[in-house]
Amino acid sequence: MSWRRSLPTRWRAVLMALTVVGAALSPVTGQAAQPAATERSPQVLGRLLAAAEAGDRVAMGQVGEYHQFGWGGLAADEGAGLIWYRRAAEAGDGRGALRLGLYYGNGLGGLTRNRAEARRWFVKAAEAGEPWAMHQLASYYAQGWGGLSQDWSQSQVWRRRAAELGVGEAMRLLGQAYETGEGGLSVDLSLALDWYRRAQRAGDGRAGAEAARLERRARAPELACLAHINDALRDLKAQREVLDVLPGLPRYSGADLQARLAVVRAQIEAEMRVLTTARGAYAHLEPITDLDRYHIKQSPAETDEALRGRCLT
Amino acid sequence: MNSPSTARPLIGWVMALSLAAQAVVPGLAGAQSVPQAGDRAAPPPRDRCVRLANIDWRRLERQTPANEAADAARLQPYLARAMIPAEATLRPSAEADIVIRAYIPTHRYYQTESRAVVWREPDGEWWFWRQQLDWGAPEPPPIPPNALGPGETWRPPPPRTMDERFPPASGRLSAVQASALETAWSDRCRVWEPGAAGSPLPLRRPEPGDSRRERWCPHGATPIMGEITERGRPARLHFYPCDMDFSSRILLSVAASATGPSDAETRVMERLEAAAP
Repeated sequence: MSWRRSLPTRWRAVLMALTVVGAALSPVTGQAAQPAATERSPQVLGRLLAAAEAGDRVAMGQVGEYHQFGWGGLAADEGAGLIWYRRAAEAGDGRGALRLGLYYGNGLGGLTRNRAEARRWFVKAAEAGEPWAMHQLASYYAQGWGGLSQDWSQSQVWRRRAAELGVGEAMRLLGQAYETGEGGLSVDLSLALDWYRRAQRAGDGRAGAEAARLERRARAPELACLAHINDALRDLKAQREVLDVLPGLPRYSGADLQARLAVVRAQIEAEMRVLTTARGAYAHLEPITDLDRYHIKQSPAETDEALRGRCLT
Repeated sequence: MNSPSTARPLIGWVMALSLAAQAVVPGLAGAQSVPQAGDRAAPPPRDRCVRLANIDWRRLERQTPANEAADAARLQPYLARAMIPAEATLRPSAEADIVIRAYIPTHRYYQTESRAVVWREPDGEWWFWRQQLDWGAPEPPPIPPNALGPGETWRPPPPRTMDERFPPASGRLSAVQASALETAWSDRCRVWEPGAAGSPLPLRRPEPGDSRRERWCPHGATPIMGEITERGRPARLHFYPCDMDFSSRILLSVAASATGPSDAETRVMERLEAAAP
């Protein structure tokens, strides 16, 4: 069982909830369709307003964003944003529906939190092809929110659709599902790593660290070798320390014992040379962290002899 | 054997001793041995002994003149605790050439009492018996059964004996510790060392980083006492209120922490066995 899977369900729910709230409060959501900062001028706002008033549903949603985030010289005003999002959503704009769903889901703009209403708008937005709405729906299915029964497989269906449409966070969570087997997926570390890397390329801020961690985890067999060699070297050093003091003890003063001590010292030093040479192949993996040790422990157990055979050849 | 309650008064005694050794045990601080006739190798002159060269012997003797009778009267009740029980099978033979008894009482920050005996047999092998008594945690109360049958009554079991609570360990001493004992034992300056030293120890010159002509024990230091006996010689009592750079102190410290061979040593012994012709 992985460390992530071992997180209590309650904590996973909290993490997921934070993801959802973060999406609602961030203008980054749906980044691809955002106007660049340089374009968020009062002039652009004027043109969007004119289009919106003329019935352009996409423009309605964009005007809502100008209000919500205080662009184009406007003061940030969630309430005004809500009016425009609702107009856009009711006119069939997917992005407006997503925003409206986020308002309901997080109780923004004076609304009381209403996850059932949020889900209704996310479904509309998802049907209109809005990837972030699919991502939200995946979280709602995972948590059993908005009147849904908790359904990991539906959650994975929506997560995958969002990921395939470019939502970095969905890619990372899909990677996580492949890593842990969450939602009934078969654990597949190479697919997990692939999704983490795709998420990183898509700009997800946490995916890089997850990829690095998973890459390290995939090296557990090599790390086990390094740990084994380090332990063996430590033990041999301790034996050599004992050897250093034995010749000074009266009991070991005889010629026969002194000769045997010399033989044993030669054995120990030869073994240390072999181990030191072998360690060179793994030294780049230093230092071994507690998480590494955890992953080593989770790997199939190997006897000392098996480790020696595998690591010293 | 002593119960915890009888061990407690010792804490106060040792604390007082650590703070003002001369005042409390005037016979101890200045006690110093004189090389005896029949020493295997004559010791170097006292002033040639590096660890002792800075001790102001005159002040030490003036402050606390040697008084072996008083030393014995003070220390023997405590050293009586560092005795191998009569029923123990492993104990020094009559031919053992060195026997060291060491005792560390509980004190201010340390609730563990150490009782130990180490000895060297004529074949040069060192052995030990040691008991660690941790008075810091009281014994848990007995747990009654979940349910009793009709007519059954429950009585708590009798309290465990001290040896059951703190089983003594004994056996061959680890080679590293045996080596430390041999090194300290072979220090020919050891015969000049004070059998007991108080705090402060008068010095001829201040030590580096200090302006005082005396060496003080740090607050809360671990005191140690013991008896060192060489076959054919009278036993010698020792008391040191803290870690002091004397070979006798090292002998007592190693004895008080005596352990058997480490895993590494056991493996070396196996290798030596295998290397036998």
